[in-house]
Amino acid sequence: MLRAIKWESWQGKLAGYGLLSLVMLLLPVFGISVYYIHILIGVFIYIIMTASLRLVSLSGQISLGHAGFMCAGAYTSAVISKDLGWSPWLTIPLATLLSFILAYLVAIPFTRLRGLYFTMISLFFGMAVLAINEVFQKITGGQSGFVGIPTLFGYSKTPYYYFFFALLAVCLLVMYRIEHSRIGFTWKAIAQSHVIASSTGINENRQRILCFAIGGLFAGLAGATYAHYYVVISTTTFGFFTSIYIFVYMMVGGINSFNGPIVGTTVILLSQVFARSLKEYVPFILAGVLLVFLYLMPQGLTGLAERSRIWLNKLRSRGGEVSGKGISNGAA
Amino acid sequence: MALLEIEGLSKHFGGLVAVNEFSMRLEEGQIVGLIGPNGAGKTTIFNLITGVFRPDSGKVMFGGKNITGKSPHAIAALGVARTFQLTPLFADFTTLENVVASCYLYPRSGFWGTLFNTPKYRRNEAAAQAQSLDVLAQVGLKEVENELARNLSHGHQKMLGIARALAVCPRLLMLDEPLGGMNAEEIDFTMDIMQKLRKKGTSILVIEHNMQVLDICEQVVAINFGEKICDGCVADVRNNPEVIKAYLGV
Repeated sequence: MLRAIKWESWQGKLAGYGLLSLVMLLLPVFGISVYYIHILIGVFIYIIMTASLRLVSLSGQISLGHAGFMCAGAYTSAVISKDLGWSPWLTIPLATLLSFILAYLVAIPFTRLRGLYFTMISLFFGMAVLAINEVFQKITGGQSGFVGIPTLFGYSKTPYYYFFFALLAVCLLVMYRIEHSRIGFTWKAIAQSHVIASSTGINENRQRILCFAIGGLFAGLAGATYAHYYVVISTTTFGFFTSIYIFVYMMVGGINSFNGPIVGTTVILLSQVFARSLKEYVPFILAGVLLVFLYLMPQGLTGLAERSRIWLNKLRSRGGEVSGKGISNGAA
Repeated sequence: MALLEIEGLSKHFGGLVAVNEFSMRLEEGQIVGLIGPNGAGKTTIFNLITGVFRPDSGKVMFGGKNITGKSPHAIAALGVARTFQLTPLFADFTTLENVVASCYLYPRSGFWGTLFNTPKYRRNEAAAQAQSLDVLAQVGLKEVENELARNLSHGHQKMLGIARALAVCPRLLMLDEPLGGMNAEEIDFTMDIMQKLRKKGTSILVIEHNMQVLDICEQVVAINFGEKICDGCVADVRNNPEVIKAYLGV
């Protein structure tokens, strides 16, 4: 069976993911503090963001405006539910759908560009969303923020914890499935060579639009649910730095592994909690971390794990046949 | 009616005339050679036929349909497959994955069918994979099916390029220097494959510097500086003074 679309191997990984899920589900039962529940909810939301950014990168497109879709989703859901009085349970799917449509529409001109040029235009898109937000500040509240957003479960944090955990699990499952099916396989082919891909009948432009739009959908979903949990949102939450940060999370975790965004987001956000006194220096530190990772381990933490596993296998089977494959394959 | 008919095809890059008023015909079931010195415009003609470039003027007809200016994926869907001279493959995929990825036009189940892993999707994928293995067996790459394409030898990479093109089930196969850098044994093997494909009804348009390939061509088109200098059966072209002049520069 093919390595790149080996959906079946998921069953083998089920044990690992299941165990991790069980621990996460039991955490509130064993009484971790409300503060940590709050932190973990943030981690869940940002894992969705980072994983969807990585989904977009599968087709070779690095977006630096991903937080723009989070912003669109958050404000759409917040404004409709507060000003029109609709239930958040209705506005969240609506905002998700609208983010998808927005991403689809902007992708039509954007995907005409490739590589660095695509990244640049996506960066400007992220900024444009904020600027548009300012223009309509009568509705959105502008820089002073948008307050009084209806909640999903009142003000107790535990239901949110379970809600966001379930949301994260569903999102990751869908993204895993997309990546390990013909859809993701085609995207990976396009990332390697769009000329060859289109010579075999792949409508690469349409596939790249679809890829970008699905990424936008998950970002919009993360933003919409974010708004109903934090209750107050402002443009600073979805600014340029957010787009850059999730990019750093992705690179630290490892861009070639599905687990990369999970590992990267968790490690960085939790270490930020333990180094709260350094809060003002976060941009500098993360920039340094990004540099270190790009130079020393471009495959990220998950790549490191993979490498050490291969190394261990080599030690074990010393003298026998050694397989050195699989370190730097983009399709793993 | 000819399978491929090109009339008055021209392409300029700035002031450079890459292809000028180029015309040719390819009958169904033929192997046609496209020869000419470096920079003569052979690969540009390939790119114009397959839609990578848009011609400035002229017409490309394939199977009676006008395909001028269509996008590459639409032209591929009509049954035109090609190989590339340089990077001919998806370097980070294995040999088998390269071919399976190229089976894109194979029956598929749409977005939702794929997402929900329906039985139909699984059947389609299994069929695509079976066909890919078949193609790999045809071109003798079966033993390296799980190697990463980037680690293959040059000859194997060239062969994989052909296998990828065959996965599209083409009516017209366009090969851009398939013999370049191959050893004598590989050359014989590749020419053998080309002849077998012709027997099965696949037409082939081949760019080549290696004149050995002319032995299996029905027709040869020679170009220089973007213009056709001669067209006809192999013996005629070989003895054409213009061709000799273009190659020897006398």
